[in-house]
Amino acid sequence: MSDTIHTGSSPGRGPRAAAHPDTAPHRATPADVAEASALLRRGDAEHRTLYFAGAGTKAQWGGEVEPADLTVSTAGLAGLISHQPGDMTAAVGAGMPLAQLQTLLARHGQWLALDPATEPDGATIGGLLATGDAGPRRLRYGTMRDLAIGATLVLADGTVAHSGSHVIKNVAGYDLTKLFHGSLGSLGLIAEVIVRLHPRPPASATVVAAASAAQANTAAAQLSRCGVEPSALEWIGPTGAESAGTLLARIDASPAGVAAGTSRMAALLSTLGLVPHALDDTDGEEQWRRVAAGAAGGPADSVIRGGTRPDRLPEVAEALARLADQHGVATTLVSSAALGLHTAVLSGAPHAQADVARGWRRRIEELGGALSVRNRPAEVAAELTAWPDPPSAVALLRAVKHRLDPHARCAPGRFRGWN
Amino acid sequence: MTPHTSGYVTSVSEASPAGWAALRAGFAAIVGRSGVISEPAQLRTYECDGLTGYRVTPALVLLPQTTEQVAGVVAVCARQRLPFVARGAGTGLSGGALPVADGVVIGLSRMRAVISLDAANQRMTVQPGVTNAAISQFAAPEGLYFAPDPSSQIVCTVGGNVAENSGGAHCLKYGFTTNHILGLTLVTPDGAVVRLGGDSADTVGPDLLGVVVGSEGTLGIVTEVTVRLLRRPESVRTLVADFASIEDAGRAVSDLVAHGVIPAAVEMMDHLAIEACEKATGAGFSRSAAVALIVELDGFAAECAADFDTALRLCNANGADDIRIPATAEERALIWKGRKSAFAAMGRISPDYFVQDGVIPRTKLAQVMTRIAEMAEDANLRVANVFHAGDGNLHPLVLYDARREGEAERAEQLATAIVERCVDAGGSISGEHGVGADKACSMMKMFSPDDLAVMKRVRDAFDPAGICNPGKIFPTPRLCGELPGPYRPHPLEAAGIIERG
Repeated sequence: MSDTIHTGSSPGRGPRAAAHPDTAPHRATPADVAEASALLRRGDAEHRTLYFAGAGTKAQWGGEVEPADLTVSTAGLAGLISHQPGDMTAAVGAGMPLAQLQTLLARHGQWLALDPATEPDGATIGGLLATGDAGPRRLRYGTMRDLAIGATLVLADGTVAHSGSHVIKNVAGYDLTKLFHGSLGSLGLIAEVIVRLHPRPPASATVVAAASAAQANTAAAQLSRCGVEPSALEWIGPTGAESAGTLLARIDASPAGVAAGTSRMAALLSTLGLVPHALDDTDGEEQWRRVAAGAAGGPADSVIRGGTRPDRLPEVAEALARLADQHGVATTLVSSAALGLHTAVLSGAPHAQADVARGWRRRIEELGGALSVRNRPAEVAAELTAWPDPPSAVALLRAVKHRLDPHARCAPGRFRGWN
Repeated sequence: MTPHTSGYVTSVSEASPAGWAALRAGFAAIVGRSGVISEPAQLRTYECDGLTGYRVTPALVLLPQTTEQVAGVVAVCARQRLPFVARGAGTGLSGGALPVADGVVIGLSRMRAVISLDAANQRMTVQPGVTNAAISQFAAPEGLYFAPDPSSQIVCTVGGNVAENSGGAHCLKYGFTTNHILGLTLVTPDGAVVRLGGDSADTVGPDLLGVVVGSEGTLGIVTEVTVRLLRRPESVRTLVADFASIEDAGRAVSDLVAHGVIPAAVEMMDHLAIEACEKATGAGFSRSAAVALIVELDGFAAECAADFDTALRLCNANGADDIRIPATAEERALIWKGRKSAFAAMGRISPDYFVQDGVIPRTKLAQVMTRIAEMAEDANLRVANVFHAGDGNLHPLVLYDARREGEAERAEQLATAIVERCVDAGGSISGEHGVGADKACSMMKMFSPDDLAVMKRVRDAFDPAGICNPGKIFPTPRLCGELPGPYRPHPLEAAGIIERG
């Protein structure tokens, strides 16, 4: 596996994958919420279509957006609005890059507990909420769905709506912040986000062991019940003929807790017949970079994402390997073993990539799960729908979209097939 | 208090007694005759939930047993434009299950089946009438439990937990109901059956599941719930520290957080609350303490032990008079029994009381508590305080005697003023009890007309006819007096010439 992290989906950096949505003839960068509101309202009468852009690290996720009349960048809404260290909350402009926020919070020994693969490429707070993107440590800390406790939203007609507040416990009103989680820019602009923070773990360590999918599945189940409370459990699929795969288990705790937890996890893996190695923070980080790189693809690759019940991992991995062989496609697979989330990168002839993706989707659906498409080259996009068949709640999704964005101005095409 | 009427003109409310008889027969064909309650004496059982000051007798109560029966009943309501209100155990404290006159209550108490338990994948699917505690009991042999633990957990149903996004004492570390629901079957207000969430941990599309949880029964009726189960932590350590003031106890909590410790639970009870709890349960809290602070840590034993030492040190450093550490699981259970009985225990020290439910940023704790004490003095009323100190969720209990002229009104005004003070401090009007009928007017204190209008658009997407638990959450002129009209941009503003500050 290469150590390079591909950034094929970032605008202006080398070859592009499928048609990039950020190609609108006009681009605006509102400096505050009022400006954003006025900007959106101005185009409402003419039904001018909108594309909301952060850093563009996930611009390809989901259905391909039709070229919009106006790109609205959140680059001007990128400040730290407030940080209350004692309350462990912060209000942040949606365009703030996660990496920059982490630097600011680190001064107070805190962090926003997310470690997405897109962080080094500039992933923004708003984009993380809009996409639900998160990294391995979502096992312990969750995603923006769990960490965003409020938001300021701007609808296509310029209406500004606030949801939630600066307190973590709050049940007043509908949770519009969650409604926008996973909305991929299709409901309106996320302008500001209030997040819950965590103390930075004083220490961290990783246990690594060679393991097949079946072994990783058993080990993940055992590690989940061994009392240690690991913060991440990831399995990297085989990377060559001689490799079975690699299991990584991470613990975040006090130095003493890390030492005790590491040795208990290593002992458990040994009893399962694996050969574990405990890595310190630096060597561990190197391994976690491998995990992040394994979920990114180049401009000619497809990146697809499946979700199943966690214990379906062996079937999911077996199906991908079989399809890859059958169609002559090279694949990498990274699975969050305790969460049942599987990211595969497909390289090879576009037609063959589409065949593998469709076959894997079918198998994952048979297992009760779902698959969506993140990145793919244009030739694959023509043969592969981004989303599964419409869910039973599609009428509700359409109704919500229609009430919030009646002229379908926001990210047209993002949920193609569903509306 | 003023009883509510639906305000909806329905074909049924204007119907003759013969029309109602036909409707009853129609419902009986769906849920069986034993599933239709229409005797006035029996209907009164359903006239209120845990907020007993609000009472409305419904026209009918229906008791379905399956998703199909709920869908059938709701489809009839939709055709007749008949308002309906879902109800679990009726323990809610905000009038979220308050019936609508000339409407029906759909009681889910007969839907108590466990549908499946998948221990390997830590999830369980149940009908909505299963109680919160029963889920954990059923999962206990697998070493699993359902994390949300509202004080009413022995009685309250998981359907009610979903409606209210219930919390409990342990949500500082573990989150709320919304963080523990993997999937729902929802009967929409037009009678369709949809599934939200599923096997994949990823959201595919806008997160409707996250909107339905906590929507207080206004977006449909949940008929199946798939919950996430957690492994029981291997270690649980609890302490009760007595302090001379809320300020000292609050500083201990702040210091704990500053040391990077996230306790499973941090609870505080003031002197009045301790007195009531001791009279009711004899849980062993010190009656001489001004404040009792309960700190519970759980998790990996090595980590838990280190954090527990830190907690002990910080309580002592902030002047704790006495620290009690339960020696056995039974002793710990008694502490929690005492704490969770606090609301009911108020009956021991006051004939009547209002339970309030505001949230403040934790750092404003001392400041807001001082202000509440001043407000209580001004109103010449006693306020007992029980609260989740870790997440700033206050439960001031305003004590009064309804037999005294004007005291109930004064108490209600004080309760409202307290919660609005919480909003001024940057918090919320409700941490876990919900808005319901009780706090609909206070929503205007927390949200702008535009905020509410956008929430209303979401409601209209689910329930365009407005028949699903009407009169809850949203302020109405009838309830709250004159409301500011919906925001209309000034023509110059619409043209982009001026802006709103």
